[in-house]
Amino acid sequence: MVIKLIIDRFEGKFAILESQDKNPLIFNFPYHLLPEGVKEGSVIRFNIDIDEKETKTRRKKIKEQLDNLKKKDRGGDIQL
Amino acid sequence: MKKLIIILILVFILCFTGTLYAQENLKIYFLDVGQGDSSVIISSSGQVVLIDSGPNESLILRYLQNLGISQIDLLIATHAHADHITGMDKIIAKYKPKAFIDPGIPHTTITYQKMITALEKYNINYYEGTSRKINLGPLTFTILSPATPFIKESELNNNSVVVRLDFKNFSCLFTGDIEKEREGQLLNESRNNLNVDILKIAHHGSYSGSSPLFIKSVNPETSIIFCGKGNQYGHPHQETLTLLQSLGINIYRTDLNGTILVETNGTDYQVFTEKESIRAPPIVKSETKTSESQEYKYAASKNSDVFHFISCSYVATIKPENLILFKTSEEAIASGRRPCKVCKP
Repeated sequence: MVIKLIIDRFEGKFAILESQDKNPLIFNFPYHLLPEGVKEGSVIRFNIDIDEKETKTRRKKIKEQLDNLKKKDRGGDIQL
Repeated sequence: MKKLIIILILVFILCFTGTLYAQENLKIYFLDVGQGDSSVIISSSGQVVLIDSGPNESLILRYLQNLGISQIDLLIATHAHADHITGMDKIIAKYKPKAFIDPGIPHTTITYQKMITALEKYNINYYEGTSRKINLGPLTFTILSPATPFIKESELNNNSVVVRLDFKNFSCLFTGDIEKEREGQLLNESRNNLNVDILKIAHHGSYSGSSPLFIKSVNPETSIIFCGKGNQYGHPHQETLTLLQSLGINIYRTDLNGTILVETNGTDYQVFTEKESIRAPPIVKSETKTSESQEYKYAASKNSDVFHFISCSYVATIKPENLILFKTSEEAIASGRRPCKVCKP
């Protein structure tokens, strides 16, 4: 999916982007993630798709971390 | 002119219906629109001027309704960024202003396009923000000279419409989001029009604007900063606040004070705030810090080995990007510079 957004302005480390809707949404986006040469008024294209492979990898890795934590659970009531 | 500033915390309704105060006064509402600018000016004879509409369409429409606005005589969009012109299309459709002014620099956004589409549709009298005066009942608005050609750096901000309001002996300067480059141009081309009672601080108090020389030339008694509570841009920046404090300028902020109302009979003015004024504490002038906390008195160009009193006519010719300031002459001498032969600092 390709979406187009317009750069309204820059404020410090943010670019402020506008969605191309009838009632546009305005939101901050990290300036350093935009390609060189962007200016206020630039229309930028985002190619958006889901990285299924990385999603799976991250899910697996983080689940492992949580599972390790769960092993520390001694069970029973907690007396602090 | 002796001005009296009284800070009062008013019940919102009383403040905004204006029933407490004489009708012959000029009122300027600096609206708390969050992270953006919007000022409503209501003259003693009922003329209405709106400078910018802020970032939130429903909010500005509600404010205008609550203020009992039934017509807008003059609508000014200082520049095309969404935090200054959101909802303009709806305002134009509802109030059909008699005149509209903007810098005449196009933007690609939907928000801007909606504004100019509404101007076309309702056949609104459009004027470019060139050097001109607007007489409106008892009020005079002076659009200060834009840079020609337009400043390329931070183009939309720097080429904001800068407008001065005069009512009898009272004056106020609205600066949009100008930055230091434009301040330098104004110092060169509009210096005689800069000195006012109240300054709307440029660009939400960002360090990109409010250069010491500009603030000193405007020399306001009171400053107003539009900024959103907890905004992510760090507005207003500490540099700006420190400068204003060191010069003894009163500071009002929409993030802390809410909507700010300035009311004047043309001689004295009063400032009312929606929320309790939370003023930054004055700079502590301890024994060791006395000299440090004093204001800048000396200036030089980066490219010159001569330094001047800040009031020296040479200082006005220094480009703002080259301007260096010193608090003491020792500091200036230590930088390898010698005193100017004209102003003899």
